[in-house]
Amino acid sequence: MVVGGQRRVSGPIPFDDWVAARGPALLRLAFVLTGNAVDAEDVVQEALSRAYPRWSRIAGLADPDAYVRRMVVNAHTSRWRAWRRRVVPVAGILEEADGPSTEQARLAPDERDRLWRACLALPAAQRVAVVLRFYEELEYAEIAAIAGVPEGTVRSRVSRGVAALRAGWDADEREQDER
Amino acid sequence: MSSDGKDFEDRLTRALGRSAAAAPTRVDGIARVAVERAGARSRRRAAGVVVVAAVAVLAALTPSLLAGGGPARSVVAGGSSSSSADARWRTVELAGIGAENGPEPESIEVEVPDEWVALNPGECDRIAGVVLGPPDVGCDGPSLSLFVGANFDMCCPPGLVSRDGEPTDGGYVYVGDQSTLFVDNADRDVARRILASARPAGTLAVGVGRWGEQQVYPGGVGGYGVEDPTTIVAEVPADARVSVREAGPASASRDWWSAVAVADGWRAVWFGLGRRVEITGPSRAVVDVVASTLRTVSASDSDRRWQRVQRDGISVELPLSWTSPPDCTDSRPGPPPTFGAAGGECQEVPGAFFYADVSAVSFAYGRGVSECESDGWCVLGLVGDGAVFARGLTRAQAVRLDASVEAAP
Repeated sequence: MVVGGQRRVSGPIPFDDWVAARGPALLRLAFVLTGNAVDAEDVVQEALSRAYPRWSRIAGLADPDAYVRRMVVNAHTSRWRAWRRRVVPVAGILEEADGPSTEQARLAPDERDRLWRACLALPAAQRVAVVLRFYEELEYAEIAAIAGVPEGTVRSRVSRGVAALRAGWDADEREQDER
Repeated sequence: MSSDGKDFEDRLTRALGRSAAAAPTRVDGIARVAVERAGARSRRRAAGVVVVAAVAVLAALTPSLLAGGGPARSVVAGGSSSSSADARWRTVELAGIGAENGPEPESIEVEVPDEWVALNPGECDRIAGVVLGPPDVGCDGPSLSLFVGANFDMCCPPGLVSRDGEPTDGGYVYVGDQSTLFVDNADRDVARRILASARPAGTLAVGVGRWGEQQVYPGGVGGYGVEDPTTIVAEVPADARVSVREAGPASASRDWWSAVAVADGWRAVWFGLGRRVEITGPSRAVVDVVASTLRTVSASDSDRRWQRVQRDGISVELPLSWTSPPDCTDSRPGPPPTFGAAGGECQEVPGAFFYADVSAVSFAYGRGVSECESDGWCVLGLVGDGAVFARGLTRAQAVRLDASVEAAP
């Protein structure tokens, strides 16, 4: 098993150690998907809370990273969460993150933000496909396994998502050229 | 793939990567919180197992007696098939969980597909007292959930809730004094029937097996005498007690409704296109569901929703529903827009202002599309010495309007 770039040879990695090693990557994925730090932390907490009771089994999988990443994506796309945010009381409050505040992240007005914001405005299924393809740089088959849909559907979602982003980007470019 | 396309994808990859750099980085406590959440879920699951076991025992005893439940039994769910001539559906009676020192739990009745069974609320991470869904689909499939006394932060008004790009539907309705019924991930017709059928136990059933579309507002005449092809339509069940009617122009805009009790049932008021639409019916749920189906329908050619107008040397496309002068209330200081939407204060309604000489005007926005300081998106178009400024648009409208600005012939 490879965790944090180091190969372990004895027994499954403890839950806390795995979270320490892989938590930041999960937070980054959730942040790109949700658009803000608070929701990103909530999504990751939710996924990990589901992983914890089954950790002995998950840690023994060939690729526990992929398994938990799928849980993060599912937690993000769950319509249940979207409709009833904050229904389930939060069991604890994380310490303040080191990164920029949610407000700072929201307001960053540079070009990277334009594309990211446009990505966040895509329909959920397209957004997940685009983020997994171009942020996580996964193969279509891997995305299909995570999203639980055929590979052709993933290709279609990615294609449509990129086309929508491209159209918006081109419109913005023309707009700036005119100024 | 063209190099241009590859360049854009590379740019997208870099943009997402740089955005991710702003993510929170500290994971201290995440594992601890996750463990605590897992513990809380486990406790809920344990409660759910008891509930489902009780349901299963009752179902085995007699399907026709699955109803009600005294204070000693926290929840009962099952089926007492009654109404449906349609054998694919049955009516079930659900009793919610009574809170300690709270009001007595109330029962509701609702129609569900005949094959739906009780699921384990704890397993599905639902704090609901009752969860029903198809067997062998799991927690992410279609489902019905009943909550009692929960405090929700709703995204949308009650009724059907659709999301762009999603193939499935759901929604929620309030039933009785304490209950909220949710449907998730169901086929739209299934979700509509379940939600609209919900009612307090013992009250008359609502006929929600067949639905039709009713035209409520037949459009009107817009600016320059242009016929407005936009109409308002509603989906209405074939129950004579449910009615939808246009109740006149709207004096204010509102994007939320909730049915209120009236003498002979329930009533909700919906606003759109500057019109007021009143929905009445025998149950709160059916009224809210019908209200949620109200929508504006335009001609198939989307261009017909726009009108090209010319003022002060500028030619521009504006939403067809905007009129000149707008049908708005001019009671506050400030000029009304030249063209604008109906309803509300003239100083606030979406609309467009034309200026023949921009040198005499100072604009708070730059040229092109901007996010308005108040609601929506704004556009400033400059042509020669003239200008057009539009406000209160959606992003898509703003982009279209901006692209349409040109010198008048």
